[in-house]
Amino acid sequence: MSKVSFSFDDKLYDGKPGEPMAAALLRNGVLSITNSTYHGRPRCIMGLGVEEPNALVQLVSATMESMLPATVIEVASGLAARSLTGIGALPEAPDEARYDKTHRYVDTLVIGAGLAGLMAADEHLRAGREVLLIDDKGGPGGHLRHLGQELPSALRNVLTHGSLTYVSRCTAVGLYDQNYVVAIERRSDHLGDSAPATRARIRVWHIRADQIVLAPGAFQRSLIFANNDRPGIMLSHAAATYVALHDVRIFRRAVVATVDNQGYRDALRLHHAGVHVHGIYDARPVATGPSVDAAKAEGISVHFRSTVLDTASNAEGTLNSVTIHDFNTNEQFQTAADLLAVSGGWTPIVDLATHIGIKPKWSDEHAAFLVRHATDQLRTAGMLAGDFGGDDEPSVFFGPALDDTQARHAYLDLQRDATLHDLRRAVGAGLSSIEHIKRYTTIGTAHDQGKTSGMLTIGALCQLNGIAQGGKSSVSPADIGTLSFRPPYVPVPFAALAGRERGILSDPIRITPLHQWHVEAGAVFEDVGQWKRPWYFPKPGESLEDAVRRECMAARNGVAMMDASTLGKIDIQGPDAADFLDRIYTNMFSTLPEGQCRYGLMCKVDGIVFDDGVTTRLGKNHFLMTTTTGGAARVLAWLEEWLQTEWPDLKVYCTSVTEHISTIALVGPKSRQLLQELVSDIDLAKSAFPFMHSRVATIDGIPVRIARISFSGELAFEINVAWGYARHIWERLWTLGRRYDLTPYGTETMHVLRAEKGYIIVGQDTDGTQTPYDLNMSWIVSKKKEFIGKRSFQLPYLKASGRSQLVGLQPENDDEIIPEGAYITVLNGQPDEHGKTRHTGFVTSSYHSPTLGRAFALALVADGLNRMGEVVSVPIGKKVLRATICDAVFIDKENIRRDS
Amino acid sequence: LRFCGLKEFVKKHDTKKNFLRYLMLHIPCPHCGLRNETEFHYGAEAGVAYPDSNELTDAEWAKFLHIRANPKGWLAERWVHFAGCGRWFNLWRNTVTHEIGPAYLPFTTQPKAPGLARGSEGGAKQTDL
Repeated sequence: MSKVSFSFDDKLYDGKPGEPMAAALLRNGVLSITNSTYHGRPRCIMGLGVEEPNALVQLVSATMESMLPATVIEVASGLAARSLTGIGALPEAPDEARYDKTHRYVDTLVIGAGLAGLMAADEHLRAGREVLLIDDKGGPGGHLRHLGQELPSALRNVLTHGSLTYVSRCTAVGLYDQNYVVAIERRSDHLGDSAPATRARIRVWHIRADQIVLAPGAFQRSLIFANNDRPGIMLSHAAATYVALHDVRIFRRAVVATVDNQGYRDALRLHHAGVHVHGIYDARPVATGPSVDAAKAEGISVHFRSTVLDTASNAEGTLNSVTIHDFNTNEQFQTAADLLAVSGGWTPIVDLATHIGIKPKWSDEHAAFLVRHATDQLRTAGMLAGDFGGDDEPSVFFGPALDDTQARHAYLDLQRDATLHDLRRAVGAGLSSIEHIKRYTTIGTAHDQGKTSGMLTIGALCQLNGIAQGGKSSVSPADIGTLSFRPPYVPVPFAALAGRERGILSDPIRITPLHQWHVEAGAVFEDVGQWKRPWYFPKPGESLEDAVRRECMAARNGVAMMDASTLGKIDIQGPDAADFLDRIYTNMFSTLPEGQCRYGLMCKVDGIVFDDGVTTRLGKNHFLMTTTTGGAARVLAWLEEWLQTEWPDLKVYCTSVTEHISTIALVGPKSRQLLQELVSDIDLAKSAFPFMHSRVATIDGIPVRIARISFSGELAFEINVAWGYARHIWERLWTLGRRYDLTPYGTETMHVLRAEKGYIIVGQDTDGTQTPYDLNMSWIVSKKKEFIGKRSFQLPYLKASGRSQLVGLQPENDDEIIPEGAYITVLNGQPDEHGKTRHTGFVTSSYHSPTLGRAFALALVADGLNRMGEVVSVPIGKKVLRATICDAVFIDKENIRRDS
Repeated sequence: LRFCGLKEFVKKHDTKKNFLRYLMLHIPCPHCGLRNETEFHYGAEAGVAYPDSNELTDAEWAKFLHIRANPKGWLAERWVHFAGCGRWFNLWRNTVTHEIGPAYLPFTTQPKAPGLARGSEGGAKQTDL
């Protein structure tokens, strides 16, 4: 076979393409891979697959994926990896590899391409079904691959059947309700340098299957004895496979400790590969079977009723001798060994079955938890269902009795460095449930999620609970139950779950028709939901504060304009439209004359303010509703819910027109004069076009709708125009506006202007508990009609005193802008009757007002509307600021500027 | 790859027309057909009419606001195909097994609850007002 070189911890090694990196490392004499995370003890490869607890590495590649077991990485040209001590580091650079996903519907999904899985596939193919067969290994055959054996010819035909799709390197990570499975397929790492650049590295499969066969196989487990973690101690099936199949020639003298006949089979493989097997130490009183007979026939010395108790190491920390305990004589003796192959029994992979709540059942005969499940939808097969083959005969034995000193180095969870001693402490603290113990000791919570440690812990717990219940252990694993496993079965990189929806594709970006103008004007943008909105328009050298001051002064004293196209807009039509709006808004809309606008507030059924905005009556049966930028979809859904589920008799149709109509707000005392230069077909004078009126006009022959709506408190005109014409109108205003020093402004200035007037932003100045009354807006609550939420205002808790209410806040120091979100306490924070200084509210909006020349804020304060003039404290770190509660309107309380 | 699409799959396997046991986190929108559950929003118990609020005591009104049936088993629920047609409909769902039963339009006759299958000792109860 060809050879390739790969690097591990910056050293080059030879390997065979496709073999596990673990095998190549062992063949090259690398026994210790890393030190353990917490105790710093040297650790080596122990297992064969995803159950590997020790040999974690990080790929040194573009992806830098970490926490991968060396047992599942396939050797390929260009492979580079480095060892990890249990904690992976995320790379600095973004992962540029491709990830994608696919959805599949199949008649039968078979998970596991071992003998049981292939036989199940065969059966379903014969029944005329389409079968999807997935397996996490590089090829089919399950444990036959570890034995280096070919598939039986009958099963080889399964793989070429026209109705079968076999996907290798595809791991089912989650089984969900009603036969929905998520799997991840690793598609390119095993190809190394020759992987096509366009191929997705990992593909996430979403599979829905009429029937599922679970044939995931089993993991071998270890035994609990002192110093059971030294390099040189391996699971026997792994040791035999590395030696016999992968030409690992680093072991001279092996000891096998076993509780089943698997230990004999593995001893034979080691023996045939030239390793001197010094002895098989079998915890059982007697063992029979072909493998036992064969071992004896080969002259391997077999000892019953004996097991390994402790180990010792050389100066490098690798195994050099084993202490055996003989139960017959109760004697102990040491024997030299550089390999201790442990066969502690098989643990079928129950994980996927437990994902959907199936409880595995303990079988003494198998010394294992099994899932024997057979319904129309889901069936288990192979070792998971108890089909261990004929020659196993395991005993329920997890390790010899250990004293406290020994227990400190008897590892249950190698990744967490959790020992039998830790478990004893947990039990001593009164814990008996496996789930509590898991959380107390951290056993089973590491990268491998208890694949090797779970069953050992259950076994040790049986002994301890037996002792705790006074006397000899009669506690069976059946009494303890298995750990609950949750998806994912193996770690899944976030990049795989994100797929293509990363970076610019992670969320749609919405821009207005004026976006390019803003970009060219040097605007700084902020994200408002999915929208990109200009935050401010700095002139060269200007800070945010400088720009906002200039923009605010222009709006208050001259003329300024803003792109308000992101406002949610809903076109509402139908003979019952006016009635409908009366039910939705707290105030009356049926009385609104055509061509006029009205500010409206809507509540949920519980009386809490939900959204606000101005609605214009365009015709008898035609309204244009505006919503907050972020609330557009929510409000439309709300309207639809009521129309569809409560009032189907109302003839009303709602259509989102947010992206059909662009809105330009022209604001300031000089706005009328500027706009009149462009508009000749209507008179903009105060008498002809009062506040909250709407007029149709033309600009350069383009139809526009102009409304006297103001979110700044200034004289203002909102120009609504078809999306595609917006830039023309904007630029015409811009050109004509030079003489007026027309100033574009962004959302920051918009916020300052609206806050100066006490205009709320639902969601910023409310926290989901305010009624209109709490916002000092009783004027907007109609007494004459029914509307959603009205009944709730009568509920005692909405009428009670002490409710959080919107007020203004005047900081004592004019220059001190109180941070938004700051807590407010009563003055000097006098303790209440409980001796605690309780907060009495918080700051919702806080700015410096260029117009007032001082800082100001809006706040939600308990019973705030009845506390005008009260001085409160605002603790900020070690500082305590003072502020006075005041009316929320700071500028032009009489609305003279707005209505001018 | 030889895989069928959702429609073909359902046609092939939907032999029990009364409800689909293998919806696998699909929901049958009455207007669009089977779609992924992620396209829908949940709207709590179905059949709770908006009452004439002025007839109710505070306690009765609060009950309407905050109390909904939460049985172990089959429950008729409101769902909206938010990322699809935007229409509201009602749907039987088993709160234990997550089985999806038949869907039906608001203001139409409610189909019977699917057979009281596995884990459905609860029932569909209308909120008592």
